[in-house]
Amino acid sequence: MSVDKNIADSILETYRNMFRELEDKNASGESFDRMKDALNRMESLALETDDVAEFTAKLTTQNLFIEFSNAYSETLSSMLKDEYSKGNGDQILLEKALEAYKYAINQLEGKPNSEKLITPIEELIELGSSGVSYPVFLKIAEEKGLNEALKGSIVVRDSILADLEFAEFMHLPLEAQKNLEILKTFDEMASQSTFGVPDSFEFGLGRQRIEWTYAPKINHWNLMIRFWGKMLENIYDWLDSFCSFAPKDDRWLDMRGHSFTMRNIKRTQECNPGILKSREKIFYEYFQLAWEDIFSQDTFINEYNARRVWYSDETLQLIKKTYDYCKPFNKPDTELIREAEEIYAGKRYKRPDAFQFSTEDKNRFIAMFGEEKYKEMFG
Amino acid sequence: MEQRHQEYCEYYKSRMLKYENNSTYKNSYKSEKALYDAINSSADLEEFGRKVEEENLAVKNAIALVKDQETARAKFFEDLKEYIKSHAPLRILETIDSVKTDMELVNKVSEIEADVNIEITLDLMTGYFYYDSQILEEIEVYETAEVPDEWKNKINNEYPQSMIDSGREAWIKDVLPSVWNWDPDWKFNFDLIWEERHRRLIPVPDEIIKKRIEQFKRYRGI
Repeated sequence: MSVDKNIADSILETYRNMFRELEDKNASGESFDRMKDALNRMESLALETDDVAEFTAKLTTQNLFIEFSNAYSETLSSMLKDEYSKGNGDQILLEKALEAYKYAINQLEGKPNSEKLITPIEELIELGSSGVSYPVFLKIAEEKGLNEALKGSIVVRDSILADLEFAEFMHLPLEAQKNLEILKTFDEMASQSTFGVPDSFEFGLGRQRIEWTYAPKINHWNLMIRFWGKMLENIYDWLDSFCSFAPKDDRWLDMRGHSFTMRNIKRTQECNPGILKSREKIFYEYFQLAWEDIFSQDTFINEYNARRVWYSDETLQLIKKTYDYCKPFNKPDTELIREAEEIYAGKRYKRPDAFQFSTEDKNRFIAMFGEEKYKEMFG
Repeated sequence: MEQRHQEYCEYYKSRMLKYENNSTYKNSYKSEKALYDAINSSADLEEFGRKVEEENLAVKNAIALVKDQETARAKFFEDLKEYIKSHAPLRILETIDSVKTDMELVNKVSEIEADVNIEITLDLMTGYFYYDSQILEEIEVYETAEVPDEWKNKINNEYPQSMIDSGREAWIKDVLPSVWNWDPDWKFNFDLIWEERHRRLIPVPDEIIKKRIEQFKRYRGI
């Protein structure tokens, strides 16, 4: 057995390329042999294991990534030292740097954000090819922040901005606040740094701290939505199960025949109130909130405004009225059943804009990411 | 001072200035300053090269950068009580002064990071408890639902039991073999749930967690 070839290739291709790159340059020596040995063992594992999780775990626990990368660095460094000692060191170092940047551009082409990532690299190539000496090249690269730009600082800021705008577009307030704080941290660090570009290491820590702070808040937020969503659904289904359309509704329709369908309906009618009661108990234990508190919670208001509460206003009102009847061993009032049937007949149970974006949101998305992306994501 | 020497002086000066007055990079500032002082006080670049070689200035500079960043990382993770993640910087800092070459430094750092990444992966398995909470809630909802006698067995027993059966099967067939790839002796450690880094991510009161732990043991057959 072996791991799926496409998956193994996607994991190992980078290492194969790194090996080929040095092989083409006639690399040799003990560290190059260690590279070859590590790569051969990776290839063998791809053939010997049949599960991707096991394959990647073995690559890591057997230290093969590390052994390969360390040997690669040693080989590269020793090749560079050899060449440096042979002639005009500065010129060779500059040429090697430019060669590496050109190689990086080839690798980046066609990948996400490649344009923005390539721009600072091209600037470096232009600078290096302008006739400046190696030390002047290094100094300008340092002072213009090109070295940090090379680590993707421009893309980082753009991607935080995109995350922020996407969170706003999706009406995810905590995600938006989080990304806004990350953006502010980025800009503050940029303004305080000597050369106007934030130190990527310090920014990384700042970002992690903000993400760490928000993680429990986001969990709390999502948990609450999950809970009241199920409570609303319990009541909605319960009332509908008493309606004349229930035997034809997908929620209860059973391929095994009418008697099974009717039993499904009976189960909802008789069990949903008890299920709701259990949910309410847990909801209170978690949040010290009761049914009537749901509709004033930020989570509900936000989901409603985001059009992710898909019930029509009429149905929501009906769910609220039905709640008082949804008790174990009880039945809904006949007037409520009549209202539900009327709403169903008029297909008014779902709000017309459920899961749709407002024109304003849609235009904002298109302005940010383009019409193509909008069609791709939302049809 | 010849032009090339002057240009290198300016380059080293800009490197030094990058870290000036930055409390994160105190060691790097000193080591960059040592390089700048060395080049600035040398008669020519050859003398500077000798100084760098004899005083091991380039390696010391690399060590200083790693030391600064790992010190910051260690403090950062300790502040957040992310003690497993702090193992890598702490172990790097313990060993860094014994490093003699740049390659030894790179290799040592990579090895420690790889080891600790496995520790982190195993620690993250504690998150299974929270990921399972949704199904644990469902089991509780069905087991405690007040229903007519006709439905008691179906709702209070059969449904929750079928969820438990699936949970146990997935644990034995999928979860454990996958974790054992990383550590063949791994067992779920319930004490970890109470450690701050995990506890803070579970947005419910302690009493609920105690109850859920017992349900989790039953659900996963632990």
